[in-house]
Amino acid sequence: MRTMKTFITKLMLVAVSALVAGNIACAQEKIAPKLRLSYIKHMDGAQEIKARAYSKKGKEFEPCMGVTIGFYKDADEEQLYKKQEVDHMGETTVLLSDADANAFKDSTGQYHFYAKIEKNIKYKSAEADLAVMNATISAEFKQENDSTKVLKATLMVYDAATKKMIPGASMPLKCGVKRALCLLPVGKDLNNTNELGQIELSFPNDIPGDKDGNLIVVVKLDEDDNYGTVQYEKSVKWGVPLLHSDNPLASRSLIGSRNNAPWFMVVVISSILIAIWGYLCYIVSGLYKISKLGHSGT
Amino acid sequence: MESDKFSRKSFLKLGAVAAGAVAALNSIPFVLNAQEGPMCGGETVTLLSSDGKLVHVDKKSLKLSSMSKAEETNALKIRARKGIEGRKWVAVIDLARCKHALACQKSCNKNHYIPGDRQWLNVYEMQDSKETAPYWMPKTCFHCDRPPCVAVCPVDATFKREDGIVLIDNERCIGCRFCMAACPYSTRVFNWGEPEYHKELEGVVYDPEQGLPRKKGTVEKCDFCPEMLREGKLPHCAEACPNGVYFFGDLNEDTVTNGSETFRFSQLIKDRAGYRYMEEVGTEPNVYYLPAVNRLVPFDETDKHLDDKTEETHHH
Amino acid sequence: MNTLTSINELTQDLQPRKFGLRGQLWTTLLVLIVLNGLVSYYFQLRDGLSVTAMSNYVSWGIYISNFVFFVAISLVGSLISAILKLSNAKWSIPLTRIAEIIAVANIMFAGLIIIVDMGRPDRILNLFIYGRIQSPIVWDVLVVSTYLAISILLLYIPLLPDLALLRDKMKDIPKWQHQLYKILSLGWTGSEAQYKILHKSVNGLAIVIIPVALGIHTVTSWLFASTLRGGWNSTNFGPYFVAGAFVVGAAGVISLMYIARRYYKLERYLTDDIFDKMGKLLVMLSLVYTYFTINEYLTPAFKMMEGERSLIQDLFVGGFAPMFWGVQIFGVLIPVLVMLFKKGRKPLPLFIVANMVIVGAWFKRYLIVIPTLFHPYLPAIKQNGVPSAIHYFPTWNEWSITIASLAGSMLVITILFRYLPFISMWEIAEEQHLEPDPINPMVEKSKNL
Repeated sequence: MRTMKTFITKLMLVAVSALVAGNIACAQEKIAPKLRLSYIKHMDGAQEIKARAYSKKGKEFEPCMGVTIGFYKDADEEQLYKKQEVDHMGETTVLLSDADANAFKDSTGQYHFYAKIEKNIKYKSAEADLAVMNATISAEFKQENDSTKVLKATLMVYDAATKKMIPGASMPLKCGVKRALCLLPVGKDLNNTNELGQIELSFPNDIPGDKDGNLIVVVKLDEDDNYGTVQYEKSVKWGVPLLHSDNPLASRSLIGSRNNAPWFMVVVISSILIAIWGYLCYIVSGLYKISKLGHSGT
Repeated sequence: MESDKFSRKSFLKLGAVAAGAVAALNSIPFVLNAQEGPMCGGETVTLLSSDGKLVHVDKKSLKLSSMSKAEETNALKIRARKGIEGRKWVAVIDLARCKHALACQKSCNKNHYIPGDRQWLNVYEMQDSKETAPYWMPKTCFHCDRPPCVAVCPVDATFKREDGIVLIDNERCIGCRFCMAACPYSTRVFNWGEPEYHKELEGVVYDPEQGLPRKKGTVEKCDFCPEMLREGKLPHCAEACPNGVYFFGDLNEDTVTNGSETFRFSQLIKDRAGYRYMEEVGTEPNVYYLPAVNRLVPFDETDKHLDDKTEETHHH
Repeated sequence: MNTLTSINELTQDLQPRKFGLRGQLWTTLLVLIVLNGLVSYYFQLRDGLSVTAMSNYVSWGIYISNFVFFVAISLVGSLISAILKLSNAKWSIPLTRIAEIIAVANIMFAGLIIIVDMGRPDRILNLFIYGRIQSPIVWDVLVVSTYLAISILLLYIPLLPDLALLRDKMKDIPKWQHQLYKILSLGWTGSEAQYKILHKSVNGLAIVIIPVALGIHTVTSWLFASTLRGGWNSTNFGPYFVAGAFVVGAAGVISLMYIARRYYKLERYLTDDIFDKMGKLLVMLSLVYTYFTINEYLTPAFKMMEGERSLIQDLFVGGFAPMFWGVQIFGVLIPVLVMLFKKGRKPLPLFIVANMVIVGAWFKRYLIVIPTLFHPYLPAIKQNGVPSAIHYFPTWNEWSITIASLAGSMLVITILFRYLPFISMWEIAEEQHLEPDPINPMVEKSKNL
């Protein structure tokens, strides 16, 4: 009897501890994140490495929030360049000057970036690397007569064999005008370069610009496997000047602020108020007179 | 979990950082890299100036660290009343593409921490008469150019901005609900009771551009996500919509986009016979509809699976 | 009116009297109802407007309809003390003060109930700090406060001679009460110069109050008519509200003067003849009101435009039909039919129909405010039904605060009746050419209520 009882107790103990252990194991199961790197070269200065940390949950991707990403110059992760925490979208961007970028160049003339998500309570670590070669875009803006505007862009790419920049032939370039939330395409969605690495587009005349007619024209090689993203930007006076209709809120109106009430309303309402309350003050002064008459009478 | 909430909170603070930066340094019009926000404790912030150069700016010169909470609130309120300079925001909603997936509403609710008793964005089942075609009509705030809600507000708590957005200052609203009665589109909703508690929102400085943290006894509504537009991003509904129903853009630039497609606004409205809802009431909305012709998928009332939630307005 | 022989007789009849048991019970009841309302309001302050049945669609409820009711009934002050006075209707002199008391008590509570309706009453000063003159609410605040000020002056100034009389003649009263009369009477001696100022002021105010009174109810109607909603989007609303207000105000005066006559035994002053005349007046006002009601519903119902159609169907044959037709039948039709007969204008039947008119008027305000909110443009309403999200029935909290506000206005009226002569003694004396009798001090009437 007694042994039976201890046996059952032991059995229960084992069962409970197994359960607890299982729970702990479950609680400690970390999410394996994914890391994606992309490279963007702005022709007028900065280069960016954008890192995006995400995990797959069911069918959807979820940003990994709160993780730190280290950027390294070598595969062994010995030469740290920078560590940054991601934002709420699981993204972070490192800005590089040309000199900074050169430090990532390897012997073949490629830029090679290494990055790693540092593990934390929730996430396991993850690594990614990206190799890109140098590419450049330049553009000419030709206005032939009053109405015909032609945009000619040239793509040059680094050739590892000759270690020289050569024209990037048959490559898709995006071209457009920079807008608040997007790029307004000019020409086709993608325009393939010719053997000289060039595209030529006639530019529409009716695109609204700023008040001086300036447009920011963008020519872009988008997310290319070998060269990353290369973006050329230039402000050109090719737009229709925006006739700045004066701020509608500056005029006096029913929907204006308190300081912008229509004049007739201010005048009418204040004169009614002044007239009536003035009269009421006069009445109250009459009461004062009554009181004075009363006290002088006694 | 902890870290999630922490970052979300820091995101909410980002707006404040940008406001300070912009106020302090007009020559640098946009903050590209503000990871070194208040939580990293770095000494400098890296900014990209408008001519594409990298600038390392001493945080102290941006007065980010020295701003008191009251000053921060004040700066945010001034910014919120002014609007985003030079912009005139407009939306185009393509009814032919809507199949009542409600991803827009879900994303809106999540990102604005909207409690279950209200919606900023509704997808209505519409049928003008017995024989006419039924269709789904997603409805945001119309941000009217002649907003009846703004006209009746007694205290300037709801206001029209230069960029066309109609916002609410929940710290000024007296809760008379005249604006709710005045809006012919039933857009406005009310904080009838104490707002739901969210750990993420603790200590967040109130910003009218986000309407967060919520204030009891005040009115709220769809705000076109100015915090997203400021960053050059689409509002949450447009970002979440799997069918590309929502287009947003700047009317001055005559361009609207749903993230994957971009159109000249005037051309799109002309080609697709765009219209504004209930033109006869004269409110001049800034939201346009493209009629539900040549639908992407046929109208199916059984798509109304989540609709109990859409229509839910009861509160405890 | 039986002839009065002296001022003393007059003052003995009309001076304030201590309440008897009935009066005390009445007052206690009102105080309890008000306290109950205050407790409910405490809960509302603590938990917000979520203690009400209002929702995002039906965003205004009985607080607002009750506000409209208060504004309506307060309009009677201008009807009796201005319009009848200026048209030289001498018979209405004994009613002037009753009307002004009703006006002051109700306009006060109109102001209070609108604060109760606010989501953030703690920010009420924002109205003055940030007030926008473009907003009809600001106009309403201005006109309500102006009307309150004029009503108080119109109540107070004609009281001066009476207060002086009470100061001089009432001896058996507590010292504070005597002191109150002394301060409030402003050292009134009844000199010709004082009377001259008094008459001038009262006549002037009687003129000024007319546009302000029309203004107060017209502006209140604009709170609705300035919106883009079916049923409210009406050009008829201003005069409609004013006409309805005169009806309920006149009924209020009839009701109150019946109670005063019954419990203060004032048959000599509030004669059958006055009841008869008030009855005729109420018939006329009701018919004018009916005319506006027909205007308000006939043409929209004829056209059945989108936006009005579902509302009108709901009112005529839908969920609101019982209340709608109940108000028309019991609040207007039957009272008018009764009052058309001379016997129907006798005090008791008139009292009964006047109360029917008042109750009908309260529910009419409910019908003005709430059904429209059941029929917004969006969500679009199919088959003229009401979407399930739209519903409203006031909660216990709303009822108890609303009833407390009604009780509160009655309490104010009760208190004013207790300490002020509610029929103007000096004006009756003036009309009856009674000479002051300074020799015999007044003896307080032994018979209490």
